[in-house]
This record gives sequence, structure tokens and C-alpha cells, in this order.
Amino acid sequence: MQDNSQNNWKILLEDPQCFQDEILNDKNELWERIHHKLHKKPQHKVLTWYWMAACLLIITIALVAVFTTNEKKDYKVVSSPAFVKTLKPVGIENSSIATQKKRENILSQSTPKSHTAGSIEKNNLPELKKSADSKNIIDSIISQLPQLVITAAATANDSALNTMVMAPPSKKKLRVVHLNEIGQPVEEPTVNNRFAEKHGIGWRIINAEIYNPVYGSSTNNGLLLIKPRTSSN
Amino acid sequence: MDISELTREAKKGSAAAQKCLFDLLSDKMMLVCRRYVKSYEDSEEILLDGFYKFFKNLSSFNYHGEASVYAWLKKIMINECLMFLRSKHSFIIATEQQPEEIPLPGDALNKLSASEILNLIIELPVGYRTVFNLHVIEGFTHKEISRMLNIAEGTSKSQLNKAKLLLQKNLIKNDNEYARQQSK
Repeated sequence: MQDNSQNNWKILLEDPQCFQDEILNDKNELWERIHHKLHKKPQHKVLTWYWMAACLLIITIALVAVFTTNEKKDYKVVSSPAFVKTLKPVGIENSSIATQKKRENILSQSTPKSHTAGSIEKNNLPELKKSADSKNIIDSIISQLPQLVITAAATANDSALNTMVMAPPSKKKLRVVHLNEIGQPVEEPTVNNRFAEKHGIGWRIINAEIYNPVYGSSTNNGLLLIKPRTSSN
Repeated sequence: MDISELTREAKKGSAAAQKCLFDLLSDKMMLVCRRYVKSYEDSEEILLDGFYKFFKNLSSFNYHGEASVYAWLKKIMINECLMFLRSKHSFIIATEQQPEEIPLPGDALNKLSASEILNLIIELPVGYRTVFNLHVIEGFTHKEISRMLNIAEGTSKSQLNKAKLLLQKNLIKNDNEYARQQSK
């Protein structure tokens, strides 16, 4: 009995009719919120998939771009091999130079000597004898100088190094360098080219560098032909 | 429609049955939330979250009479309140020496109206209020409270005693004010 009387206040606390102030005013609004929450479509999942797909697309595009640029770079390296300039002392000449020298000797021996070439050699011999002492001194100085060696940078395609020696003039003959050994020659501006760049066509006509061909020749077809004077024709 | 039928229909996903259940039980649950949380707006939010969880997990609920629905929903609401309080306040209270048990001024409380009792409880500090609600009103043991709030058992007891002392003080204060008002 005493317990029941003591617990009266607890029963009162759980009776909503005793709390007019605490009763919910707008139940419909609250219910709408719960209903909306319950039946809300999972849009966030769709969004996450969308963003994941977009990220993957960007990554693939970036990878493709990176690989394509790398391929282009490789192609450039193959097309224009770089040359590395190094200075090597004469004492440490590699075996390739020695073999080249041997080749040169063989070529010089095998090639038939023309009359003019022979005469030149014969004519030069006494002069060489005269200035033998002075040349020996110069050669000894030159031999002590380091040689400029141009070596092709190793690429994936050619493993062997092409070596070109820009050695000082040899005692007897100039070294024969084959075109295959050098590779593609670098175009250097010649005197004529530089002149042509500086002066226009008007300047060249005035100075009679460009002239008309003779009329009545077999090649004349009535048109004004402009040919440079320096041409091989 | 009684609660058993409403629960069955709500389990199937009927929005009308769910709304009826909400209308029937929301006021009682609001009072539960108000005992734990001081702010009315926060209590409303907790109520919405609690009902949302109730309807979402209704399929796993086994009906054993009206009382079981009420008890389950109340448990959800209390858990929601504790979660809210944990997020806002910390229950890390220093363990104190176990004081002597103070009797609850039940007779004095019985003289008060329901709203006055609620106001007295709401005015208690968070720690005192939570332990008082869990032990005195809900009937949890100190061991259970210590597990729920992640505090020591002794702390729970000391918090309860302090809550009772504060309630007594407030009751005396209210009595004096009431006596003054009567004399005027």
C-alpha cells in the first residue's frame, strides 16, 4: 500500500493527459517527416556510383594520355640519335680506333692508284723529308693532346656504339670516314645559304647573280627562266 | 483497430497503420524523451529518430501483447536519448566513495503535480538526471546503468544519491515558496 502511494508520482509522469504543455502540437507534420525519411529513395548510392564512374573515366583518360606521350618521346629518340662528346687521352685509345686504322690501311692498299695521285705522292715526298724534323716535333705535341671522340648515344635499336674520332692529322694520310659511320650529316649554313638568307631575289638580279638563259637554245620554250649562276647547269 | 492489428499491418509496410501507431504512442514517448533531454526541440528530434528506427526494424519484432510494443518502443527511445546525451555530454564522472543511501522523498513528490515533478527532474544536472531516470523510473539496476553509461557502479550510486539530495533541497525550496505565497 505504501509502495503504491509512493509510486503514484511515477504513474503520473507517464500519463500524457497530465501534461498538456508537453503534448505534441502538430503530429501530422512530424509524421510527414518520418514518412519522408522512411520512403526516401537512396539517392546517395546513385550519386556515389556516378562519382566513381566519373573518377574511373578521368583516370583512364589520364593513363591513355600518359602512354601516348611516352610513345612519341621514344620515336624522337630513335629518329635522331644523340652524340656525346668526350675527350679521351691518346694513350687509352680503344680497340675500335685501331681496327679502323687497319681498315684504312687495307683500303689504301687495295684501291688502284691513279697517275695523278702517284705524282702527287712523289712530288710531296721530298718536301716531307725536308720538314721532317719540324713535323716530328709538332706530331709529338699533338699526340700528347687529348683526342675529341664523338660517340653515338646507345639506343634500344643499335647496341654497338658508333665511334668517330676527330683525330689530329695523321702523319701520312687523312683518315677516310665513311658516311655510314657518321650517320645523317647535320646541315650547317654554308656561305651561299647565309648570303641567300640575307639578300632577297631583287638584290641577286641586280648583282647579276640570276640571269636569263640564251634565247634560241634547245631548252628555251619562250618562258622566262630564272636560274642562279651558281647552279650546276 | 487495436495495437496488435496495427503492428501487423505496419510490418507489411502500410503507411496508414504506421501513422495510427505513431498517433497512439507519440505522446507517451515524447514524455520519456522529455525526462532525459531538457530541450523540447531536441526531444522532438529524438522522438522522430526513435520512431524511424521502430518502423524500420518492425519486421524483426515479435509481437507479445500491447505491453511488448510499448516496452520495445520505450527502449528504443531511451537508447536514442542516451546516444544524444553521449554525443553532447560525457558521462565520465569521477568515482567517489560510496555514500549512505538516501531515501527518496516519495511523499513530498506525491503532493506535487505531474508537470512540477517533471520540472524538478529536468532541472537536475545531466548525470544526476540520467541515473535517476534509469534507476528510479525505468527500474534498471546500478550494474546495468554502469554498463549503459560506461561508468563505475559506485559512480552510478553516488550520482543517484546526489540526485535525491538535490531533489530534496529543491522540494524544500518549493515548499517554502509555496508557504510564502500562501501567507501573502
